[in-house]
Amino acid sequence: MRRLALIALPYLWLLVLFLVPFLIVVKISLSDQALAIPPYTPTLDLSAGWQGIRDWASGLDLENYWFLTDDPLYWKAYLSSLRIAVLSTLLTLMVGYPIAYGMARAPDHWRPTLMMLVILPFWTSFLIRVYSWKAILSQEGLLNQFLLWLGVIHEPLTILNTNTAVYIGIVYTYLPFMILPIYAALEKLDQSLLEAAEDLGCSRLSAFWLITVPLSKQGIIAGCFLVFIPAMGEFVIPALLGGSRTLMIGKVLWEEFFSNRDWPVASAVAVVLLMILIVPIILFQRNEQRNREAEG
Amino acid sequence: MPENTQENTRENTVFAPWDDPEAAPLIEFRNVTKRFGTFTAIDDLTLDIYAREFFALLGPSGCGKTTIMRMLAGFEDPSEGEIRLGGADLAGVPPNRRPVNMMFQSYALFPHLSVWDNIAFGLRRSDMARDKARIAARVEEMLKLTRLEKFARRKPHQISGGQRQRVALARSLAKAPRLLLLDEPLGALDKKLRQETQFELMDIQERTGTTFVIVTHDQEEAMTVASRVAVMDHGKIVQVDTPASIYEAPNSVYVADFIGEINIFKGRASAPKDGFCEIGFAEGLAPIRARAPEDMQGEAEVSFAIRPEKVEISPERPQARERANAYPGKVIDIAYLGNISTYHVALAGGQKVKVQAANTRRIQRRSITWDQQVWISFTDTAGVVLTR
Repeated sequence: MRRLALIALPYLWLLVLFLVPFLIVVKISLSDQALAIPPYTPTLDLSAGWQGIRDWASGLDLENYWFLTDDPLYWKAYLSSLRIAVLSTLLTLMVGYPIAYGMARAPDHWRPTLMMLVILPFWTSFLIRVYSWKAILSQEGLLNQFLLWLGVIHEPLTILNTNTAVYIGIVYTYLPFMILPIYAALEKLDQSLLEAAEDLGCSRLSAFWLITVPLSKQGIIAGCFLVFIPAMGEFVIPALLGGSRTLMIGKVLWEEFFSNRDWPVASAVAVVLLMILIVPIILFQRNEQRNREAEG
Repeated sequence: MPENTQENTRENTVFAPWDDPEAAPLIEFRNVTKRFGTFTAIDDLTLDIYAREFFALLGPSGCGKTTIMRMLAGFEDPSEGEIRLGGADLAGVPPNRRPVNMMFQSYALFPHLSVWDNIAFGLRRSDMARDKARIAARVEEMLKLTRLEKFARRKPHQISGGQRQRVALARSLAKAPRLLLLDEPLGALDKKLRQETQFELMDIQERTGTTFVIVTHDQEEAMTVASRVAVMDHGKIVQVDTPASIYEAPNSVYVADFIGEINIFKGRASAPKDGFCEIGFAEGLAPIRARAPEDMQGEAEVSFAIRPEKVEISPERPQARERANAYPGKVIDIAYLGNISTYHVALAGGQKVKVQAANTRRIQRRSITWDQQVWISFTDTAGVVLTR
C-alpha cells in the first residue's frame, strides 16, 4: 500500500500539472476564436446537463489544424525552428565537447571549480544574460568595438537581430546542458583504455575516435537532446536577439496568443510542436533507459 | 605470427641463456634511472632479459616494478640511461610503434566492443589491416588458444572475471609481439583460478615462444611461472636469479625474507675455516656451524637464514652426526595446514624458530604437542650466511 502511494505521487503530479493542462490546451485548439472571456467558444456549461455536454462537443472541430496547413507561415516557422535547433545543437556540441573533455582531464582538485564555473551563469537571470548579449553584439557593442580596435574589421559587423545572434544566444544559454552529461561520461572513462588502445597500435588521435568518442556516446546523445528539445520551442532568444526575418515557432506562438488573441490557433500550434518534439523525447527516454540497463 | 613452429621440438638442454656469454639479450636496460619530480622510482638499473624468457619482476608495491613495465611499453621515458630492444634504442619510440604489447592489470577491455572485436583491435591497426581473412583467422586462433570460442560475440561485461582475463591475454598476444608485458595479470582472480591460470600462462608462453615479462607482488606466482625472478626494493634490483636460486641462495636478508618463510639468526661469525664458520647468536647456546660465503674474510656481523622445512623437530636429541646444529626448545604454537604443520619453537635464548614438517601420519599418531620440550636440528649446509 505504501509502495503504491509512493508511485502514485509522481503520477499524480504528472496528471495534475502536465496531462490536465495539456488536455485543456487540446480542447482550446479544437475551439473557435471569440470576442469573449475566455476568448473562445464553445465553453462547457454543466448546468445545462447532458444537452450542454453534447452542444459543447459538437462545437469542437479540427478547423485550426487545417488552418495551420493552409498558411505557409506555420510550416515555414516549424522548419526554420527545426533548422535552427539542429544547427545550434551541433554548434553547442562542438563547443561543449572540448570543454567537457578538458574538465574531465583536469587535475582532480580543479574539477569542482571548473564544474562551478559551468553552473555559475544559472545564478543570474536568464533574461538578463540574454539582454547582455544585446550589449555585446550590437553595432556599437563590445564585440564590434574590440574588433575595430584590433583592426580586424573597419566597418562594424551586423550581428544583432540576425540568425547568427540567435545561434550565439542558444549556444551560450544551453552550453551547460551539453557539457554536464558529456563530462559525466568522460569522467568515468578509464584512462588505461586509452593506453591499451595506444599499446595496440593506435595513435593518440585514433584512440580518441575509437575509444573516447564511442564511450562518451551516451553523454553526447543526452546533451544533444537536452539542447535540441528546448531550443526547438525557444521564444526569448529569437525575440531578443533575432531580427524580423528570424522565424521561429515560439515567436509565432507568442504572437498568436498575445497579439492576435487567437487562443485556439495558438493552442493548435503548441499541440503540433509537442507532437514534433515527442519523437526526440521518446528517443531520449529510450537512450536513458538503455544507459541505466547497461550500467545495472 | 609465432615463430616457434620449427622450434617446438626443443633440444633437451636446460633453458638458461643468461649463463651463455654468447647469447644476445632481447632487452637491455643500461643504467636506467627514472624520476618523478624528486622521487626516484628506478635507480641506475642495468638488466638483461633474453628472448623466450618468462621474466618476473617481484617486489612490494611502490618498488618500481610497474615503472619498468611502463617504460618498456613506452608510457614513460627513462630520465637517464638507455633501454634497448633487440639491440635498437627504444628512446622516443611511441607505444603504438613498439613490438611490445601489454596486458593491463585492470584488463582495460574496451567495453563497447565484443570479445572478438577486442582481440581484433590491434590487428586492424597493424599491417594486416586490409586483409580481413587473415585477421579473422588470427582472432579465431587466439580464441582457440584461450578457449574463448563460445564467448566471441559477448561484450566484456557479459563474461566472468577469469574469461575477461583470458580476453585480455588473447588481445595482447594477437599481434604476436616480441615482448609481452603482464601487469599483475592474475591479481583479480581468486586463488584456485589463479593457480590454474598460472599454468595456462606458462603453457601459452611456451607454445607461442613469446618473451613474457610479468609484474607481480605475489612471490608464489613469480616462483611458479618465471624462468628468472628479479626481486626489487626501492627502485633497485636486489637479486636476479632462477626461482630455485632465489629460494635456496638468497643474496640478502631482504630477498630471503621476501620469498617464502624463513628463520633469521643475527649474530657474529668467526673467521671461516675450511669453508665453514661459527655464528654465535645467543648467550649460553652453542654457535651455529654453517658454510661461509665465499667472499667472507675474517669475523663479521651476519645473519644466518634457514627455511622452516630445512629444520627438523624431534622429541629427543638427534643422534645423527651430520646434524651439526641442535638446540632444545619448547613448542609454543602449532599451525596445522593439512599437508604440513608449522611448529613455533622458542629456544632457551628466547629466539623463536619456525619448523615445518610434512604430516605424513594422521593427526592422532603424531607425538609433538603444545608446550612440549623438543629438539630442533639442522645440518651445516641447510642454511645460508648473509652478510647484508
